[in-house]
Amino acid sequence: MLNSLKDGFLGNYRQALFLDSLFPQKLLNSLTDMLYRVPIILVFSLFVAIVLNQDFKGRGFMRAIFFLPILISSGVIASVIQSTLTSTVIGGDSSNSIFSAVLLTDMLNNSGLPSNLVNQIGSLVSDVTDLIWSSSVQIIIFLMGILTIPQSYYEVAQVEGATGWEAFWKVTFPVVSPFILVNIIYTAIDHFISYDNEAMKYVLSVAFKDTKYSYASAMSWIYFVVIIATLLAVIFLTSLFIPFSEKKIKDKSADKRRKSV
Amino acid sequence: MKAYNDVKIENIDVSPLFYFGKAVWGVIRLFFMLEMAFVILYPIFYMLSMAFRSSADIYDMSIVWIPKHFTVENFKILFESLDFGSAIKNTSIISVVCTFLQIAVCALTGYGFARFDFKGRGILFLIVIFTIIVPPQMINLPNYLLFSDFDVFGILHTVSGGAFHVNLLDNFATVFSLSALGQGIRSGVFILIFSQFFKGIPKELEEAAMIDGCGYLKTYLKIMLPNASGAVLIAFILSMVWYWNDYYTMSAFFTKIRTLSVKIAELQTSLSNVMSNDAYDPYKIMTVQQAACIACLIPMLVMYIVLQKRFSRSIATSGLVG
Repeated sequence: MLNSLKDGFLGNYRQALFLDSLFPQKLLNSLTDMLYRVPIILVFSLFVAIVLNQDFKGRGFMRAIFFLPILISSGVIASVIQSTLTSTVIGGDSSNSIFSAVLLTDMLNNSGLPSNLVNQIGSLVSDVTDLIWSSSVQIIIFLMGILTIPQSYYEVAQVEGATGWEAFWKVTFPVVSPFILVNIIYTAIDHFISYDNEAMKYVLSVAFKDTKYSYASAMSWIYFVVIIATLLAVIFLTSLFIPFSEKKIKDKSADKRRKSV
Repeated sequence: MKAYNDVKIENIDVSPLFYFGKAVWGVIRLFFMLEMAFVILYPIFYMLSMAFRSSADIYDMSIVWIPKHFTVENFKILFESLDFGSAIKNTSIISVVCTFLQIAVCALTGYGFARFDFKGRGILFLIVIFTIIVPPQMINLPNYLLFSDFDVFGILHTVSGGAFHVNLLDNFATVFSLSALGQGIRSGVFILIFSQFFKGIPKELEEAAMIDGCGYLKTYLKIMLPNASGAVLIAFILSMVWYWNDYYTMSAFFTKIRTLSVKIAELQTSLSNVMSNDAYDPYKIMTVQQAACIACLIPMLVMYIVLQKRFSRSIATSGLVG
């Protein structure tokens, strides 16, 4: 009894961190995935939000279309679509994205293109679709942020001779920046808790395929701590570069007041 | 709302390059939008195409998108097998009430985090973020145990001597109380959105209200909330959609109250009552499932399209203030 307790004491954690050949690597992979996913999703969704804010024909229609992924990718509809699409597409690879590029790659393969090129195109297309599907909430949050900017700000900027690029950095960006933090946190958490994640997949397979529940829960605790640490680091780093808190803005205006006095 | 480039420029010499650039950008934008629309609408087209197929078309390999025998039979089967009226009623009660509770609570919490400096604010804010990380699958079991024998700090049991039990399961009160206490579906995200939004509103507005004799609550209700209409709108839309589509929490707490999403998730069993032999045909079930998805999707889409007009209207009011 005592002996088994001694073995059991943090034994799962030690095994996960130092003896398991796969887990640290998977953990690192999902972290690095986050590092490139979050900026891409942020830039893309900000771009789409800006475009959706411009005046063009069919803008209301496009806004409705960009709302659809939120509707479809949450809850019951997502599970139904996922099950039907994966069961109908013959020879489908086990990709988890809602829209898989299998139909397109089949078509290109049949038309006689070299398979290397087809694979490249296929992965590109599924990356793009994955990007769109996972950035729908971010787009709508950014759009809300941009819509609160009064038109008069832009008119002032134009009178002062600012180009569109300058107006973006001087007017749009400062107003939108608080929502960058929201979106960074949302995107990072969304990535960490999705089942496509490598570390998540590994923990799930250990728990439910190998039925090593205690080992899997030890790993998920490690994963949880890692998530919190990365989120803290990300929030700290972004707050260095972008003035989220009103403290910094207030300090600047206070400095100006002091100078003018 | 006019975008930056479309403001009329008078008395300023603009090079023809400017108009050329604008035209090129218009073309690029058109193609970009078309591509995005295709990618997003692909599953919708698939759904529509499947939902209107008759059973003769299912095994016809020559049909890719447009069914030869256009039929609404799938919808008929759907409405027969599901008790649609009561499902819609339950779902809308839950999503509307929970959404309003969630917005009221999250907006107030967000305001507190944005404007008031108190001890432990940072740690509390981190805890709010943790609530987003922990998935609902994790909390549902403790919540189930809590609600199956509801008791606050054991007060009820000590008073009644353990004779009195309150079972809140199968009662709307479970989801309502959760969302009223900031434990609804992704409440943390809404708190985050509201607090960031309130931080963006200039402090002078509040100070002016305070000087005019408004208390804290009145300032919040009369000045801050109307200015945060954009955030309220976003929170409303997202919360409605997430409650409408959620089936995990709903199936955990309710056995008699069936929401639309739960019914769709267990469509297969309820179909076997209506269709005798067809119920074992996976493709036939799939078409009915797609019809169910469309029926579930349409109310939310209508809501968004109606609310979308408010999107641009909310700017005008907040524009005057800023």
